[in-house]
Amino acid sequence: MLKELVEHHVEEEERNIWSDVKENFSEEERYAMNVAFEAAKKKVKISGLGNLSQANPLTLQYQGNFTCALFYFGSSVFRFQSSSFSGSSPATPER
Amino acid sequence: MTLMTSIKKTGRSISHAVNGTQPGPEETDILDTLKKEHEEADELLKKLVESDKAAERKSILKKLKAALAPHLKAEDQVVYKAVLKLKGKKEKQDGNEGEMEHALATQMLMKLTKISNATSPEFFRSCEGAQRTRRASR
Repeated sequence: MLKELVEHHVEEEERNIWSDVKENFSEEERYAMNVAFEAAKKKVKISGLGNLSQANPLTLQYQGNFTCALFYFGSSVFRFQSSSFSGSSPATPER
Repeated sequence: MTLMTSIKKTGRSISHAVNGTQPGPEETDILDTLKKEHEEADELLKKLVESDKAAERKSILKKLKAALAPHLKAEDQVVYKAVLKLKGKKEKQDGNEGEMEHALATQMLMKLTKISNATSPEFFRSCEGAQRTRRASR
């Protein structure tokens, strides 16, 4: 399940997020982002994943327009998507 | 890419080739770094799924956690944060969806690390269950 999720995520990220980054940020900015990325990685404590997002995907909602939700049940991942529904109790993952 | 950027980039590449050095973070595109880390995670996940020994699985999972945890967090803080600040609806949707998947991957990684028996059906399902089910349904 983790493997499937990561494969799906990588595929979507490389297709969508990367095109957003390429279209909107210059090469110099992408170099600067890389420096910030490497610095941010060093700050993450590995033990227990304690400071990673504790958000539960079952209850994830976003401020503004709700765009999608991912659920997992047993060994299946479900996706719901909408561009018009507004979340009622916004909560973004911890940054 | 501007002409000056191209010249600088070529100069740096020649310098590294001549001196046998590797480019530093300030000379590397974030997308190249992400690509490399995605490939490393993919490799570890393949090994995790293929392994049938508990100790080996635990060891691979530890490496995967050490690689994925900083990657997910740093990517949220740097890449997704930058994308979510963009004004386009598509960019916001891509950013929100990516963040959700990061949260889900983190939660599943935590779940896996809490399963003490690495050869149990629960561990197996959490690693690859759906993938096998999907293959079987084709």
